[in-house]
Amino acid sequence: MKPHNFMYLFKEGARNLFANKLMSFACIGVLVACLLLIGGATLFSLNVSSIVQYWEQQNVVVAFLSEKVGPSDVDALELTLSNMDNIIETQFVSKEETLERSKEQTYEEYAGIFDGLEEDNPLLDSFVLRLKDPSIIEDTVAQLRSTEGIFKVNAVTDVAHILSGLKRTVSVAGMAIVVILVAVSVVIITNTIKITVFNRRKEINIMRYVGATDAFIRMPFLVEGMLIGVLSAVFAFFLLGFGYTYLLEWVKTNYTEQLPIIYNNAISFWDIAPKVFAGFSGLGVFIGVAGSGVFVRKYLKV
Amino acid sequence: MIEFSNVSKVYPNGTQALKNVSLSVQKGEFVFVVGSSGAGKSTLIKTLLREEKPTSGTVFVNGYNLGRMKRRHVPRFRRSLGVVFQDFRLIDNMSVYDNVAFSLRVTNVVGKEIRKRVPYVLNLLGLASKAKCLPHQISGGEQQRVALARALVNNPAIIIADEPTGNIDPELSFEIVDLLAEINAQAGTTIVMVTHEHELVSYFNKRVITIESGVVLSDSMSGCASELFTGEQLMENYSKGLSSKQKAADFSDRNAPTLLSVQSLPHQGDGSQAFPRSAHKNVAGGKL
Repeated sequence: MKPHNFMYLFKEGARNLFANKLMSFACIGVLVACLLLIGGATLFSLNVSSIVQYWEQQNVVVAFLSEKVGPSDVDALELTLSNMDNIIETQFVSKEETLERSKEQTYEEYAGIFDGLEEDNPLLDSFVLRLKDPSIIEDTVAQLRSTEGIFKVNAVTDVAHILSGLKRTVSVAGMAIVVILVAVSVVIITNTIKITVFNRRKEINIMRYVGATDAFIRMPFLVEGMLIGVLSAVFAFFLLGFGYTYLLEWVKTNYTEQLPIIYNNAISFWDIAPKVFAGFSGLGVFIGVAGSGVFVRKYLKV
Repeated sequence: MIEFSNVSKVYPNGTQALKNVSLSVQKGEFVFVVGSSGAGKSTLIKTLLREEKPTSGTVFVNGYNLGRMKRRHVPRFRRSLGVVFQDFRLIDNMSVYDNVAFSLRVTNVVGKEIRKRVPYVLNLLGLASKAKCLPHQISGGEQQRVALARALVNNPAIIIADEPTGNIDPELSFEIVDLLAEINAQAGTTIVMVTHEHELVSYFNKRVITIESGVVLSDSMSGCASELFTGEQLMENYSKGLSSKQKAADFSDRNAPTLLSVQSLPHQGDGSQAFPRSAHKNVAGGKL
């Protein structure tokens, strides 16, 4: 294909976009709506995952130190623990702090039962550990138990498993919803493109009769499909970005008390913006170009 | 130029549209193809355009063997033809100028050449003032002239016209055929025109090929269609096609004057008064 031809065909594609304003508008509208649904579902599932992950990390493991471990050995032990694969945070709690906390947490009238324990504290020093992946909590607990200097390990394994299951369910369900939405979008958009091409079957037919090659006929349609894809991606990107940010802001101002966990753990749209934009434009252009290509072929038979 | 030898065409549904058709058209000829509907005219044209491949036999057009031609060579072949249709087939959202220029753009002609040739052809067909109009803004006759300009602008060796006058007024019909005849005479372009307007056929006195039920019934140089197409026969054929509800007598009463006038059509010579010739005499002056 010669350069002057390429320019002509590109211009022709852009011109067609304006010449068929109504259909282009319909195509872009449908594509934007589909991309918004897909983007919305993705953001929702990402946020739920992020919140569940936060909950998971609240589920801590407490490792009590044996009495043999003196104050000098604590640092070495802490280093050992923090070098373990699944441990992301260690916090040392001395037996004095534990006693203080116990007093605070007990009803005032019974606070007296702790009296006199300061001198001869029967409690143990401990480490509060946060896990990276709570689904393998048993392994970590076993590893801790076999560690020298650890006397006892307290862990709520059931909660860890429930949360891991929840997270997995959310991400699988989210993925499934996105896949279904993509499939539905492809059907709707290809139908819209089919109508645009059908509207212009006469034009395609004429082109064939005056001796246009298939590539020459298809090119403006592909350019048009591509432009529709890009435009839809841009619209959907900004609508989703501002809509989502506005929603978060709204939750923050109106539900500060009730739902701090949501906005504290919500994903910022602009952090994942490049990925969203790449996904949108990739999907938009792919659907636009593939749809046009497939349906034009149908009318190239004469 | 055009060579059909023993061409048969059977459609997938079993319809035999052409039966062992052999005919040849030489360079520079002007040929009318006539026949009632369903006779196989359309299939003949489709075969000429390589829209359909013959089931058996060989078709040569412009040196291309159409039966054996690969799909990707079809565009190149079609560029050597000019085609005019009954329904004009102009692109609605392109101006007259662009419609004509389009068939040059398709053939990789550079912009400079397009800007030279399109105005020339539009001028030749008296369309210069309509260049910026859209097809729906001009009359049917003008639209057909645009289609003719589009067919001509490539300077094709053959022009195939499939009932080019079917959708326009009788007076303008003569104008269109007149233009075709002038192109034929001036540029030596081979012209194949399908029609069922017998006034035109007898008026222009060219070679006439009559097709009926897929076979060539007659091929005469006299400008007369086969016997089958004299007025009486025509009326008979016409009545056959009527719905059973309508009485034949009723029909012939109402239509008698029209059909009579078909019979009493002046033949060439004195016809020039009966039918005004084209107003676009500049065709004769221009070189194609």
